[in-house]
Amino acid sequence: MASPGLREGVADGRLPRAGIVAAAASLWTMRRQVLTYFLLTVPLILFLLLIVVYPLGYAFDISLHDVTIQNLHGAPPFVWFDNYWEVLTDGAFLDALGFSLKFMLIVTPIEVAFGLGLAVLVNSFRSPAGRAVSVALIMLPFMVSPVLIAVMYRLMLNGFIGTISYYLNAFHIPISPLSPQSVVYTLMAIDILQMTPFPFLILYGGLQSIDQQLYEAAAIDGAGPLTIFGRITLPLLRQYLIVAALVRGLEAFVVFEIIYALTGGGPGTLTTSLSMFIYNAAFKAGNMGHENAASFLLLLVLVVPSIAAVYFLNRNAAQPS
Amino acid sequence: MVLIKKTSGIWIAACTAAAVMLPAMASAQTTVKMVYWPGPESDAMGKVVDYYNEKIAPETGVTVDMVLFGRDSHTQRQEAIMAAGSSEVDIFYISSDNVGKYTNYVAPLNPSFAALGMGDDGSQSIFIPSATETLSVDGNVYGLPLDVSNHFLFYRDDLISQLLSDPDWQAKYTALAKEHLGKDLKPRDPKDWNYDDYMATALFFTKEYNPDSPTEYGTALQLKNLIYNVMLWDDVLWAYGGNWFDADGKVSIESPAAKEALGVYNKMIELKLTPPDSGNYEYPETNAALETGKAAIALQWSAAYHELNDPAQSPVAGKIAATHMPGDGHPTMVQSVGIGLNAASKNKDAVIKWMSYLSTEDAMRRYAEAGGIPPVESVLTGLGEQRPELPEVAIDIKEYGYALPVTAHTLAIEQALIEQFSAVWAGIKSEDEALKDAQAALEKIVGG
Repeated sequence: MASPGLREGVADGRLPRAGIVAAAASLWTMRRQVLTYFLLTVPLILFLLLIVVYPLGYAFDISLHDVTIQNLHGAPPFVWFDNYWEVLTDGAFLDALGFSLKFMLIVTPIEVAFGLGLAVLVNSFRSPAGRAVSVALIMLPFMVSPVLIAVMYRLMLNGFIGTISYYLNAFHIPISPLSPQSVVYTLMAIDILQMTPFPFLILYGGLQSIDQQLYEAAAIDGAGPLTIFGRITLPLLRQYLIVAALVRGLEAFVVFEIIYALTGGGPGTLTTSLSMFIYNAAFKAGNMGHENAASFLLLLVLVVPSIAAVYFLNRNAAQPS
Repeated sequence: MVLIKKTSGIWIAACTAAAVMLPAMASAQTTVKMVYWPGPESDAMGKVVDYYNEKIAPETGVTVDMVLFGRDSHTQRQEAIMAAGSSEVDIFYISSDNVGKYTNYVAPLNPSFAALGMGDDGSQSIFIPSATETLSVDGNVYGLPLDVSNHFLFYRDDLISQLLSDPDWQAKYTALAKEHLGKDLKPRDPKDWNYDDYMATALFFTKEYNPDSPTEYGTALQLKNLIYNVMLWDDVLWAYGGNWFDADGKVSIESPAAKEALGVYNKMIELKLTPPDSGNYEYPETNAALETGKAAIALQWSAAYHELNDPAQSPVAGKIAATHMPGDGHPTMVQSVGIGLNAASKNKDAVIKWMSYLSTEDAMRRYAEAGGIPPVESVLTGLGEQRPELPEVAIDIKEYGYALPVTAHTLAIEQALIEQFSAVWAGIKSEDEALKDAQAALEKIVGG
């Protein structure tokens, strides 16, 4: 039902023409906008097609063939999903999956908890200079390449020339950090020392976004530090915590560099992560079909938490607190 | 001016001729692209390439361009070129580990033996045969072995000399060998050792058993999950008569010889003759053990000799001696790196000309003087004064050297073996279990 104004406009014959023109212009503007948006995203879409979709499609194709370096240039036999079946029934793959899960489940909560503790500590500093210096110092390990960190620890843990071994001996602590009994935990400790700055940075940013008036009001109402932390800080950091845990969890699951440089996946296959397993399949065994199948299985394992991470990141960006 | 005008026609003709001739002259010089892995070998080869391009290229019409892809991405990039059938490079960098899987992409050199100055059948090659063998598959030679590695038995010369002359030390040695190894042994010259002598000496120089030992541990075994470590152990296997395959080419790793060879390492680990974190040892850690005076003997790559005896970095420089590996026949694995001709190259004749220069003693002497270790006996023995280890390298690879089976699966086999055996050495698996699993893994690799 048309409004009185519209009826008047229709009656005097002005609106339909003007309205149609305006509507057409609006539609044209909208289409132009859509077209502009589309054209602006075309380079990105092409870029993604080139560097993500095509390699993924190619890798999937390889995973369905019995490909090695010898037959890559020829016509490798099509084997359907045999590579996937072989990987899934390979005890070494399942061991590597178990190691990666264990690694992720242990280091992620510790890194997030340490990151939170450090963030709360640094946020409590009154001096801006003190905060800036603390943030810079805490971030230092994160700025170093994981391979370099691993090489540094390889030297520090060396039984003859390493500083850590020296002090363990000096204090008569009967631990050999790289022995089969402790090597897994040594790797975890190194990862925690290097990667804790990441959740720290996210959570420190989150803490800074919390309105200080909430803390002042709580203090006036007589709330203690623990109550304030439990009732204000933690709930308002919830999304930051989830994002930090998801991102770190995903990274921990695909850990490669420190293991490659420090233990090579050994002793035996004791520290072989999924990434190490795939690396060995590709570059030692030269079995590219097998390796691509393992990579796709890894992708499947990671896709759900990855989507969750992106969802929370977007939600976090839209609603900071 | 008049002269210029009069001769202008000649000048124009000359310039035109030059313009036409110069590119033709330039194109007479063919450039071959040679991939090399960045590192000491490429540094040494760079000197040879520079000399060749300056002095010899004008005669042969072939210029060499050495291409370095980077240490980390070398294999991936080279294999991508191979798989694409590209002629982007003319020469590939190959090694005894990977030549078996590159046979579709590297041309055999056998048809070019004469052009390479090796005689019709390759018998006049200057390269030591065991090194050439490491780059050969089914009788076809796929590359020139330009640099070679082998293993030495390293020992503290001062300590072993005292052991060989001090009656008290000798008595203690014999008593310890009887008590812990159950064998009647007397100290012997390291040149005559078998692995019982090695274990007994490691026992004697371990403080836990001999508080008077100047070193804390007898030895420092390399037990990390790394293919180079299983290559060291392969020498023990070969010394006990073992092999990955039997005479019929069937997998034979589950054998009494392999069990004995695993037992040698296991006994030393069990007795703690090697440091407790040896499970993560590779080349540098063993060197560190010798340099810091914590270990007395070691099985190590020959390249360590220079480092261990360099006064600038080794406190025990001058005290470390090297000889051939222990065991019957003193077997030492020979690992070669070298160059192979890209089967898709459009400059094959030019590549053969460059390779024919590399197959001369002059080229290999220059390479050795620049730091390389070419498997050429005359060159290695001739440089004994500057580099005392080189004559021993020549003797070892000529007299005792063996090539690991070169197959398309060599790397995969080495990886499977080290995964199984490093688990044994870490106490995670039993010897029998690991040998059984290794047998199954190798059968799957070879059969698959």
